[in-house]
Amino acid sequence: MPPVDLFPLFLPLTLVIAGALIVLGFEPFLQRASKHRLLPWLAAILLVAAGAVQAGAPTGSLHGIFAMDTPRLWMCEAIIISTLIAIGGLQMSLARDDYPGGEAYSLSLFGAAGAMLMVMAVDTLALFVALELMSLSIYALVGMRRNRRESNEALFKYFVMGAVFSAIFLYGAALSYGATGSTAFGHPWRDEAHRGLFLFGQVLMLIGLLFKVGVVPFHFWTADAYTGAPVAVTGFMGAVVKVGGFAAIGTLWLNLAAVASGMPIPGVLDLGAAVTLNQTGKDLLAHYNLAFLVLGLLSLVLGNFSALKQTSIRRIIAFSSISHAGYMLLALALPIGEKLQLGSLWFYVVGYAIATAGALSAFTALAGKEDINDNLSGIAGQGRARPFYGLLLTIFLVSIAGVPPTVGFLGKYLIFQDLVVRGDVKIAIFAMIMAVVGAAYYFRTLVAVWAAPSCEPAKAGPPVLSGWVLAGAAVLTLVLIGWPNALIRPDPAGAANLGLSAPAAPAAEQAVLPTGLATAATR
Amino acid sequence: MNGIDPTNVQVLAAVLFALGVAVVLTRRNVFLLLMGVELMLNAVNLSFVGFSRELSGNESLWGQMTPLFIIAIAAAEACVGLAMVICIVRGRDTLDSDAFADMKE
Repeated sequence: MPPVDLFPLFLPLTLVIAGALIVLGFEPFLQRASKHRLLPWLAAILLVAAGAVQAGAPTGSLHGIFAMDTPRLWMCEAIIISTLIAIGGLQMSLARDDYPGGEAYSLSLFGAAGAMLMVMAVDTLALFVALELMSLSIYALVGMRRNRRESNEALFKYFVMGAVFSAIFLYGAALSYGATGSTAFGHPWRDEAHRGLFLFGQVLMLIGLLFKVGVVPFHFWTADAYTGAPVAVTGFMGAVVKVGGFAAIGTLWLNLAAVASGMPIPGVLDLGAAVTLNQTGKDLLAHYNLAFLVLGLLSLVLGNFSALKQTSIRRIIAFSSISHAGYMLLALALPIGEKLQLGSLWFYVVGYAIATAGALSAFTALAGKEDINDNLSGIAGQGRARPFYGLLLTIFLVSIAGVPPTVGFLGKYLIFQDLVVRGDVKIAIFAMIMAVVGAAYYFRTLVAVWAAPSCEPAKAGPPVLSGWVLAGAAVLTLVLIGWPNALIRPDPAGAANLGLSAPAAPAAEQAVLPTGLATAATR
Repeated sequence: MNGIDPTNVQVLAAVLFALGVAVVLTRRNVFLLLMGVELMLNAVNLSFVGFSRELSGNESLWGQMTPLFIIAIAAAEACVGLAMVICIVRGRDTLDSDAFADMKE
């Protein structure tokens, strides 16, 4: 990767953090009512500016500590959009509850900045600082309703477990440093005596990150943390933590593959690039691969079947997020051939983040004061009472469920296609069946939303911000389906920098892809 | 390089880390949980510093610098943790973590 200057690379991030600081600075000087009228708009303006600047961000690496490339750019955009959606939802929720403080807007911007740094980090120290910036903000957001028992309990469980797993991640980073002599990703071990230490360190780091995204053996916090948080925050954390976490896991995995295959110090890997594996590398990574597949399948089963039993919407979303983490893990599986490329993962993550943040933000509008309607009987008929938000919720849930023509469908399709191409046909079929099981509880929720009203409809009068933002996001979940190629295709420039041959995708073949679906043949 | 054998430093760090995990897993008092987490983080610091003595030149530098970042972040984490303790003690009047198990599995 070419070097890049500090200022253009960090300009979007600077805008997000400036937004957080400005909001925090103004907050004490405003009346309670105007806090929720003014601050979200301030935050939204800076976020929109950050999103606009981010779209033109330069690609390259900053001293081998941070990097930017096409998939990272898309994920940063997804984080900015999810945060914008969450700010809209928070405004609606906090104004309705007459919440005394406006710190939540600032905290979510800090959380977004942390997640963006996580996406960009290519060094374990930078990754750790970013991870903590994101986590600490989200802990505070989860415990926002200070007087509610379940909110306190969720905060307690999430914080203690989160701190322990951060420490485990960090110990893995220390061991990897000892084995390689560098905190950067993609350094080979010093000598054969240090290989075991290096691999053990990488496993500890992976465990720390898998906890953050809520994959099965480390999923126990998900349901409680999601349920204890206010609905708008649930959407924010579901979206942003997944993007940051999977970007970090993917960075680690690609670098591990490159190091294991004995590539001369790979430097900063483009996330869209294809890493060439040799037999040594494959043998070394076989156990990791098996672990990803097994944990992915376990997450699918446990997440989907637990979600079927739930009645609380937030718990349904929590368990469904476990199952989605399962799909994303399956996307990490090693190829039968030589090239490891994670395009389908990036596309899935981007689509999932926007749809999840949108679904819970739209649900905020229907959830009533202090999210009192957060169960299937409480939400019954709310869609008829407020059709605009009901319709938006429908679009987002349909996308999460993976029904065409939404971005969620294309994401799942690409992952299944990858699995089939890799030769894991049975796993692909099993995952498809699980997707159908998953669709069952999303549609159960939707049926409830549009059923005959059984109780008082939620109070109207949401501020305008959320309506605009959500409508935009809904359009995005339908429109993004046209651009998978940007993420699916290995970036030729990145591949060239690695000393690899450019991906063998003739221009003619790209032109005949009718709906933009990448075909198996081009791999 | 003289004095302590670098392997011993790593063994000590591993033991301290395991102790931290054991404290978090077995103790019920909220403050002891937070202390267990601190112990884990400091074990990591020790491990970094130990490795930096083994390495030389630029490589050694990273191991000396990283603990400074970790110390700062551990302090921030302790702030959030103590704020959390105040929050939950107001609600339930106890420091026993078993009291926070109302939510169904």
